[in-house]
Amino acid sequence: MIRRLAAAAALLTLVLITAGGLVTNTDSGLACPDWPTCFGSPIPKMVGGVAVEHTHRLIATTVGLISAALVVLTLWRARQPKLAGLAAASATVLLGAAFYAARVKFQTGEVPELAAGVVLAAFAACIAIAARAREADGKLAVGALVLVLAQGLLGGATVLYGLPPTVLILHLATSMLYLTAVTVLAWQVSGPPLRPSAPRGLLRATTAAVSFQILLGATVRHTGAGLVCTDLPFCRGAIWPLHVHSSVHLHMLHRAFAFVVLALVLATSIRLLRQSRGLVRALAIAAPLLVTVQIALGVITILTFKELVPVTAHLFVGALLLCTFVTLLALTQPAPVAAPAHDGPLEAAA
Amino acid sequence: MTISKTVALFAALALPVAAMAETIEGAVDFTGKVPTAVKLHREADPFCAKKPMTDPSVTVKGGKLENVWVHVTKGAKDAAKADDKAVTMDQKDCMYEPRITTAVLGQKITAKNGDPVLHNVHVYEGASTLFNKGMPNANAAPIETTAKTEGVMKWKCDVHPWMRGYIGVSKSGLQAVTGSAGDFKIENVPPGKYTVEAWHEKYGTKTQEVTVEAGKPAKITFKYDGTEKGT
Repeated sequence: MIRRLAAAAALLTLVLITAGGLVTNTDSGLACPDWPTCFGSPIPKMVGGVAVEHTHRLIATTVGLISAALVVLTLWRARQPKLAGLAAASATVLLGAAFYAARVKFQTGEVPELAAGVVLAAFAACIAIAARAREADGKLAVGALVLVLAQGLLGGATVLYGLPPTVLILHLATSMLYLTAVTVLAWQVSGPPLRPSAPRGLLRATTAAVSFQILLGATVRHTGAGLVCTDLPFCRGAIWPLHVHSSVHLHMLHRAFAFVVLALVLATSIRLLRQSRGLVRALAIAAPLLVTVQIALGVITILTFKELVPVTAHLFVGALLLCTFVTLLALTQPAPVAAPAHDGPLEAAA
Repeated sequence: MTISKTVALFAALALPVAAMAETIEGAVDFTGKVPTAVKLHREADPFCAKKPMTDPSVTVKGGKLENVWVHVTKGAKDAAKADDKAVTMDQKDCMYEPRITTAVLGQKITAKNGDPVLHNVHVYEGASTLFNKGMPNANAAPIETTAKTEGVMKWKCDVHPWMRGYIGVSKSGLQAVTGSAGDFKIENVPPGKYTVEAWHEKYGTKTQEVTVEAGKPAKITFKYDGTEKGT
């Protein structure tokens, strides 16, 4: 059950990220002026941008519910039912306070301090619960819940504050962190890793590079730097133009770093192909192909002036690439050193 | 019947009808605190950067709101005949010009680029892209399209993300856009009961019912206070 739910969460998160891309790329981010409701309704008339934005919200809600179920099930399995109840209560209080704060913010423009304080306190409680979880699965599940809650609140902030670029970038970054967490959880609960001999250092470096490149891409997207260079392979006639606006440098950094990622992915894949078989080997073959497709999609995105399909696929393949390397890290994880179980003060008190 | 008699007969029949066509006129008030127009960050493109500009999305003068599309949504019996003259949406100084205009269903729309730099004309109907084409410079051939759906066509340039333009498309043609004085006048409105909607790019829609009587203009005033969240 836990394994299926974790896998479902990971797959649905890929769908959610793609739906989020559609929201941005169809300019639907403010189609619903309020949050979490849309024009005051939980199920508004699903037309145009409202359909795009609210579908994204409904998928996010489903992912959030699966995440909450994972917390309850993993803590229950670890015989920490009271901690599970505490986690569910904290998440409920957090959402209740956040929804109230969002309502007040929408109506008056001000965020009520008390509600904001409750939200922060509930976040702190969730983090404390993660620390008290007896098993790694439980810790990861609670961590994922914290991330998906933060993700939801950032999504609300994008609407209530009129799509500020910093919040949009954080929204995407948190979604990738959540994808990472549930992917690791999905593999972790699927049994012991394959543990083939693997270049762990190189794998970590490549995963970090893919993550950084996604962050760069999000910054390019949300600061309007996607088409500051419309010529290819050059930019404004130069390999890297000088004396230009910072957004041009940002765009060029994203282009250049793609080749760093390509080099790292190729190096990792070659090493893995020599040493592994089965799923690890299949992923080692798929990774360079994904990077190649991703670079091609980046080029097509520019050539088509950010046409909906290539620009959205560019985000999806980026997330898939991250998922691939997180999976490789999870599958090649060395055996953990056994640690004695203990009850933390919170669990003891509960 | 001679030609002159025929013309006279038609004139006799048509004149009273024309005389019956009235106007819906009024203004759009802005009663809230006027937001400060923020500077547009146009520095990324050297050509656009030459002319600093502020965000024109909310333009208020003397308590009146400019660039509001006011149009009849219910009550109009006849569809308007599309004007042979195309509606033009130009790109000048890295801005859409005009910011907002109107078209009738079936009317031709022409996009031009008056700038020496590339703009991509990305036109949306709701969340769907109608077309997305590049215009490299002022020598680019105009892009021609037709108003096919009632509602707001949103125009964007992804190369210069601050560039926005809008065309309100109506079937009846009973529509107007508020000018710099925040006033509007919808002409050739036959007597009857109508629902009139005002739409602003930031503050969304407001609706009013109005009855047009023969011999006098119907007057309405829309009010925005700046707290509205529209799409």
